[in-house]
Amino acid sequence: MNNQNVHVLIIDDNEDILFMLRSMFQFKGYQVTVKENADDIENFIMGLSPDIILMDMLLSGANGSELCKQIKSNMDIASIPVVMISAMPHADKICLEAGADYFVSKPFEMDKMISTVAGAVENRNPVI
Amino acid sequence: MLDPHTPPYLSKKRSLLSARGEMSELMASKDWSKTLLGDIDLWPQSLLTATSIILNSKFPMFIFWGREQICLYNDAYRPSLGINGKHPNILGMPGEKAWPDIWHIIKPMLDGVMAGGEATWNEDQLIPIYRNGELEDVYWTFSYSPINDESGKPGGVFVTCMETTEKVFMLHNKDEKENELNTLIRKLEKSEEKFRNTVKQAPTGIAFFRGKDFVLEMANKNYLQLIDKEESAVVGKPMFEFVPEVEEIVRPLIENVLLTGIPYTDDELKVVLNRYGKAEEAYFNLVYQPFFEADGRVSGVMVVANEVTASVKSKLGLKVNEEKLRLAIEGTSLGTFEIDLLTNAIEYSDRYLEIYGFQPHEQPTRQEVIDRLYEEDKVIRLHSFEEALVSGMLEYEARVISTDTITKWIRVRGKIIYDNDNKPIKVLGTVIDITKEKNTLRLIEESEVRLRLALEGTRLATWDLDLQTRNILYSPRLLEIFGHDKTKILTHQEMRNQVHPDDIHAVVEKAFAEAEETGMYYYEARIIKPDKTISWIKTHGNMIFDNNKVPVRMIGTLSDITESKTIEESMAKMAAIVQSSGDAIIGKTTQGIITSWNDAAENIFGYAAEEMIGQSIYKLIPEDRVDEELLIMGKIKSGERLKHFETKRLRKDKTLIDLSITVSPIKDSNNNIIGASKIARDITSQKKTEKLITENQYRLNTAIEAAEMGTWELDMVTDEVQYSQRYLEILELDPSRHPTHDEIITVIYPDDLPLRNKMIKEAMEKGTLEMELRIITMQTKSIKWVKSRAKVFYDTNGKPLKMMGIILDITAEKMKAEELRTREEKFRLLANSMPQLVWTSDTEGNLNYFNQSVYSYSGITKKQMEEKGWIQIVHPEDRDENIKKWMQSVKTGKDFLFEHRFRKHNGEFRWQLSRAIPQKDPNGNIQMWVGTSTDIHEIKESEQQKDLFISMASHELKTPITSIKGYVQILLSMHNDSNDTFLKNSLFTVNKQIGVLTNLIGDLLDMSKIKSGSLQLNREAFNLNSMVKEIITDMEHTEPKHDFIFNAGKDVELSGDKERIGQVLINFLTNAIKYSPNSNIININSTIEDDYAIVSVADKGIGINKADQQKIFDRFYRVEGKDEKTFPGFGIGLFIASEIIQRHKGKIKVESEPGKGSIFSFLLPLEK
Repeated sequence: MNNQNVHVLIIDDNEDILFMLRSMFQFKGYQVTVKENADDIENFIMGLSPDIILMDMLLSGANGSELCKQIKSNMDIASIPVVMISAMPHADKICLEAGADYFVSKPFEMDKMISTVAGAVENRNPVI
Repeated sequence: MLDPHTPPYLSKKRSLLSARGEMSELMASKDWSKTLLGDIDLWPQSLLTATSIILNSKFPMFIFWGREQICLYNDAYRPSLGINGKHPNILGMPGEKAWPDIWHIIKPMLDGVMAGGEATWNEDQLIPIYRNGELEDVYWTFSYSPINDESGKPGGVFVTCMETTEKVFMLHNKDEKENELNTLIRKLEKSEEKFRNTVKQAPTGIAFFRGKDFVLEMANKNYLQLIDKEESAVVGKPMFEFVPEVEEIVRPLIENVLLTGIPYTDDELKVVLNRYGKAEEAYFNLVYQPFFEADGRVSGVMVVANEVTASVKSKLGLKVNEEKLRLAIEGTSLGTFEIDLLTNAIEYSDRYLEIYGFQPHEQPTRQEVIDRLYEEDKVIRLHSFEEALVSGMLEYEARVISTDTITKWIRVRGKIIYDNDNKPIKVLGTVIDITKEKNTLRLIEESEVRLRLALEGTRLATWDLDLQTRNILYSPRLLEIFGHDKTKILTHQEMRNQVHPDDIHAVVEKAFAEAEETGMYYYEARIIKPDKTISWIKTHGNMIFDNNKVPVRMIGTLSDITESKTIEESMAKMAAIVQSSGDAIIGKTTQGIITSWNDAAENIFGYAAEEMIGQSIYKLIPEDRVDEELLIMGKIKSGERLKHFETKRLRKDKTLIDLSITVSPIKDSNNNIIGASKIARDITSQKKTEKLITENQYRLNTAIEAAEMGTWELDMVTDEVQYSQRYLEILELDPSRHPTHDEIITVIYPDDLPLRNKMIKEAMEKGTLEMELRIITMQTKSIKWVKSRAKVFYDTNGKPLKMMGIILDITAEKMKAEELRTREEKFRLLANSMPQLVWTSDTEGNLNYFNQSVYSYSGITKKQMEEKGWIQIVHPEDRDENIKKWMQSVKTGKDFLFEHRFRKHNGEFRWQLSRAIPQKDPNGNIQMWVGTSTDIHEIKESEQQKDLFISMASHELKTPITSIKGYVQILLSMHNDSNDTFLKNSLFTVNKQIGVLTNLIGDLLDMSKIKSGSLQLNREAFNLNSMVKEIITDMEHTEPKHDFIFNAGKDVELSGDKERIGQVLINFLTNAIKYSPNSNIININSTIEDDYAIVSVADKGIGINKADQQKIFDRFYRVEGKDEKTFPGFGIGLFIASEIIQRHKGKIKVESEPGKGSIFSFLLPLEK
């Protein structure tokens, strides 16, 4: 699949991180949408229909893992792979338990981030 | 057919002599014409026959032929002539010429036989002959018998002989034999001698004669038997009518008794009695007892008589018997025999046949001879033969079946002959009839029995009791037995009163009741003599009844049997003592054969009685002490006693045991030594004790010496005092002046004198003294402390006799104690003025001192502290760990360091850092612990805040870093193909340093986690080699200059926190890179060893010296290079790595050599 056909949704309340990630994926040719908060997230995702969601675990005003659980329990969007990122210790465990498909700790290697996302998209349930 | 051994030239006569053997060859080849006998062809037939017989016999034989007594002999005789002696020269030589050395002995015998006399018999006769180059004492048993010639008269003398030298020497010396016989006879004499003065007991004849005519009123059966008369023929008749033959002797005696009233007693009174159809001499021990009427008149005489004829006669006959016996034994002729052990053939003399009860013409086989023995004795014979085959000597005694009423005894002795291979081939021996010898022994035994019987009857008292009036008459001997002098008059009641209370009913009255039934009165009972000693009496009596069968009278004898009773009792006691003795008591014969063996012997030696009785004592004697036993037995045989001889003996298990033995001869009643008793005491423990005492004495002396003690001894009676040199030195007294007790007392410090006097007084009662005193030294007038200890010794009345003791200079000790006391005071003063909590503990970990601050802080009293302990102020959550840590320190002696919360008086718990250090003496032994507790509550709280801060900060720091790192990597990607190397290098460096920064932040976070105990492990199963590979791949990205060479071992699945373990490996790798400035090769290994998976990282860097290797896993430690250039990093990486590995129950290690590099490795336990 061509990266340009892959639509990545990035949710992070830290603007710097959000734009850095957008630059990184855009540089790699992905189609990127960013969101700074968790407001009306389910509807947003349903409206957007991204191929993959990249989300920080700690969002102001919302708990990332709770958010992840919502996504994964909404049948319309549950099939979208979720990659969670965090600087918190043991966040990986919390995120995976919440239903996240992948976890990347902060700070991360660009290569690792890109390959994780690419792998996640490739492995997602084929939607025909 | 011609015998090949017979030379053809031999004449017919010569061929008669053609036996095999040296002598027959010699005779055949000898030129006899040159001898007085002339050529063999001219020899008379009788000589030829005799010669032929001897040449064919295996028994030593010799012929003296003719007037000249020409010598001829056979092969069997030949050895008797020895080497370098008469053989072969005397063959054919005249006797006088051949035997000049013994001619004077044998000529008369030869002449006697030649003159037609009987054959002679000589046994073990000493006839010295010249042989083996010298004149030897040779013993012979021989017989000379005539050989009649054709004229029917003796033409020569046939000698059968046997050399018995060996027998005489080895078995019995002739003198010894005589001694043996004499001993037997002396034994007999002695026992008879004892017999002479005794009255032969039963049957006692009792008769009563009344009036001047001595009319027999009553007589018992025994009396009637003694005089061989019917009762009807004598009762009512005067004595001398029915025994007139005794009148001459008896009348004067008995009349005297009747006249004077004085009893008459006599031993061995000889009278001639007409009885059993003849007049015979008889001997009596008798008592004539006067019989008093109520008015004091003597109306009759009672006769009590014991016949002792047999014993008197046997005594008188002894001398005759002795002679007969001697002759019998000396004259006994030996039978001789020879057994071929290969063919079992037996040859024997006529006498031999006679002894076994065969006729001279009979030719019994060996078995037939054996069958003549008693069945039981055949076993003895067999056994003796078996022994003989080993020892070479045969000897046994056995009984031969004979038609005589007397058992026939024989003694067989022999010698085994061996061939060159030491195989027994022959037995040569003798047999002798020892029946008489045996009978003598029996006679002795019998006379011993008689003696015992006689002893019982010795010195009988007689008594006569009127059952109606209870009047009793008795002989003076009765008074003696009852312990009174002869003037005393005893009533029957008085006698009865003397009977032992226990025996009155049970014995005396019972015997009386029986007498009423049977007429016979008999008992043995105890009496109490006036001197309160107890005697045993035995009484025999007859009860006399009137026509109405009412008992009217009893007559009897009474004797003192105390001795035999006592012996009986003491024998029983002895036996019990022997058996129960703790000492081994062993009886043995003079030959060393064990005859008794008690329980203790079994315990000491390990052999049971049945194993040892009949065995030789040598079984117990170690080989190297055999001589000692011979010496002991030698002494015993000479009647000596051996006391407390310390030696060693062998036990059954072959171990040696230390014993003290006492050996005493055992004598028979005639004082002959027949054996020995051996008392052995196990002194193993005694030996040990002795050794111990010696050692202890030595130790004591050493101790006294080492402790610089002075010793002293005070005689409480004389007040004399003795002391050692050191004693005076301690008291600083002048030894040359020999100070007295009083002088010594003057050195005592006056203030301490009352104490000293009090202590001495107390010591008299307690038995021990222990005091510390001050003394003033004479010279320097300084004060010295001495310690005195003593023990008091008392006499049997409990009066103190002596005091023995020691003194010790304890000045230094006292000074030190004083110094300690002042020091401690100072310490307390200091401790109490400190704001910190200060406490001390003994070596066991018991806290025994708390300073004032402890009480003020906690608000509890000293009493509460003593009651409930210090733990009450520790926070309940900290108590278990606190106690555990503290006891660990006490046990190991390592400093105690612990953070815990103490309850303040207001209930608040505050953190304290407690630290305790052991106080050691110069030898490194812990004396006590001194501990302090410092309030660290504030520090602790700020630290917790700091940890929280670090935790927060690290997270907060990560966000900007993530952003920076992201942009740098985007830039790096964007300019990957750019030619702007500066830009690229800058970006690369920024990226790398961000990595370092990330790690530092991680470390900081981990540190705070470790400190707060919140480092958590996310255990999962992972493949170790895969993990290592992943990390190496990552590293290769950031460290492209380095080569990571992974040598992967066996694949293994581990359970653990993969990320954390990876962190450890990253730490090892970054360190390897960091500390290897001049090398870029890093080797990584994974292996399995024992139960661990091991991953190691080896670099060729600067290395770490030994001292530092211990510390690198500590917090904030960092290796420094030689050029003092510091290497980056907080130095907490290895601390964290170590913590992670330990949390996985693994081990972390380092091997390193400065300048060569380091190998870091971690070991993780494999899943079971």
